Amino acid sequence: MGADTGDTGSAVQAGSVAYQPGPTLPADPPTPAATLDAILDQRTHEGEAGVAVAAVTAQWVVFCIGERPFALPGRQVLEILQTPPIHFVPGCPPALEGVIEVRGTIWSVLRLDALLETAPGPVTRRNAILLGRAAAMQSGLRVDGVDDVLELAPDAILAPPADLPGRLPGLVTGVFQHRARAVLALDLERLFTAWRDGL
Amino acid sequence: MSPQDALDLVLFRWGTLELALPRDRVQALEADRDPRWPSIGDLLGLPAAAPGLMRLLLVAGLGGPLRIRVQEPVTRVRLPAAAIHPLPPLLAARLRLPWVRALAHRPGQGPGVLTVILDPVGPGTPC
Repeated sequence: MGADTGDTGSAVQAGSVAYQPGPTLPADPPTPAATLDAILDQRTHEGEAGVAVAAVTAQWVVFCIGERPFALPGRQVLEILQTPPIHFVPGCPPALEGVIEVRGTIWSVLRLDALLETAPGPVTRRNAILLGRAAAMQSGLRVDGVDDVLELAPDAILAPPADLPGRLPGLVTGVFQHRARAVLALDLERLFTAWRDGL
Repeated sequence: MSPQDALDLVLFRWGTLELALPRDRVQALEADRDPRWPSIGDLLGLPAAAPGLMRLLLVAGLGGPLRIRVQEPVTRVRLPAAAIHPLPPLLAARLRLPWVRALAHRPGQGPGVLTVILDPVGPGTPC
């Protein structure tokens, strides 16, 4: 058994060799160790603390339109796609770029730059389409690039600035700091409803 | 594919667009002898298409039969129901084109190509 565990080079075979004391244990540190009960108690409550933190934070998908960063709640973004082929559909307003097929489902593709009246960036490999769903409405949303997906506590999100231009005051729900930039938080239900009603 | 799981369509073109009408809305296919009949582009407000061979479709409309000029080739296909998609709701809410009822991706169709299915007697899309 001792040979199997490999914990000592000198095999201890019960009954065959007289007991020889091993090296002495190091002295206890000045601060006493925690008890097993205390550690188990702490570990048990670690899980609870984790759940509590997860419950109060929310995920945000940060993306850019041109130079301006925006974010959508993670619960409203189902998937992030590299730009797939977009099919043109005649008769759509300019902000509706066309449709895409994703695993057998046809999604409309809205141009967020047009909806938010924000100058788009160039066409690059960073361009992406967010598949968004809110209030029984769904659509793809074309963005210039996805910057990050992060967790935020509610108190990290401040009231939106009072001087937002154009349509943004009706669409922006808050603002938060990310990488030293002010990110405008959006709500997809507001966006979709405004679009449906003739934005 | 049983008939109940499929739709017969008459396919035709307008410029780069592939359009289709349900077979039961098309009463006849005729030679294009009279350029005074409206084209599908005129009816839907589409940009003018490059000149090409045209045919006349006699189509059942809300106000009676209607002759419409379309571009060749005009073909008939049967598509499985799974290939036919309703319009996405946010597209349907803002689409300015009459008659557009559905989209289809035909088996073997290349990426980026969708068929626009029209219905001249469908709900809410008078031409």
